[in-house]
Amino acid sequence: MDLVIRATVVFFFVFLVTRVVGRRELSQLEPFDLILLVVVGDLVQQGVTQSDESVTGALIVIATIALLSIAVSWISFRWRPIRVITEGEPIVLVQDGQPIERNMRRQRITLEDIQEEARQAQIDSVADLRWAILEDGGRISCIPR
Amino acid sequence: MAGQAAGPWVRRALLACMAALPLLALLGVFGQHPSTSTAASPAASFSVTAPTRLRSGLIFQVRVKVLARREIKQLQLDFAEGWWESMSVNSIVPEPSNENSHDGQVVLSYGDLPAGKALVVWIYFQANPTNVGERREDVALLDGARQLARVHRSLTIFP
Repeated sequence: MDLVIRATVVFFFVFLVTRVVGRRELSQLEPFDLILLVVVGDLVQQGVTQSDESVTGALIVIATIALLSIAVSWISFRWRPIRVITEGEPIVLVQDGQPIERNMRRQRITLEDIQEEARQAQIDSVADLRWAILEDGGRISCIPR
Repeated sequence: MAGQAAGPWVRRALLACMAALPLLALLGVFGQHPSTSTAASPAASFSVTAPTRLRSGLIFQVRVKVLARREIKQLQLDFAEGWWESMSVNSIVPEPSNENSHDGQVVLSYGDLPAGKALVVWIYFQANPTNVGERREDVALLDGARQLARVHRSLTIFP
């Protein structure tokens, strides 16, 4: 019983951490983010399974995490307010060539980040962007004028 | 077309199978919720509290309580072989004055227990990762060579 409860608590806490860390960091996986992922992975294992070395325990934890993922995904699909919490909404970073500083600051995205994404989309400069939008998954979509 | 129609139902059936595992775990099927076995005689009442189901690697506590109704001059606790086979013993509190073995049984001696007094013994075990299956875990309360009470237990360890 305790195994299921620990897995559930850790699932929602890790989910909270991913929301707090920010979508951009999760999509980019900079060295610091890699450290975070490795450390979290190790600590989660210790906290969830503790001294349990059984195959049964591993199956219970995997099934619990998988079911919670499916449940969260289904609830998000059915109710839009929940979807906004679990997945977030696209955020406009540039509109008609004008960077929106407030949104960039909140997402910790620099002008250089947007310029890099624009170049990858074959767009010369930020001024040539109609829209730059930070998508739910952390990717920046660039739409030219 | 028939295969496409059956697809969601196959997925739902697999999902139900997967959901069964945490559900059974929540109900305590895979351990390690403790249960208490009791036995009584004119000389003493006797109880053993320990899990009946475990998963390998888990640390667990066994609590043995003896309440003397009359004086027990040579109190001994006789544990079946199943308690010790492929188990790590972390500690026994209080430690017995003597430890013996006969026919695979392990006997812990605690000396004199006056009438009306209680003895509580805590033993901390860890199931070794290779320890799998069902084991007999009887415990007998003895006064010297004479058996006063016995509880019959078993332990199932999941792989």
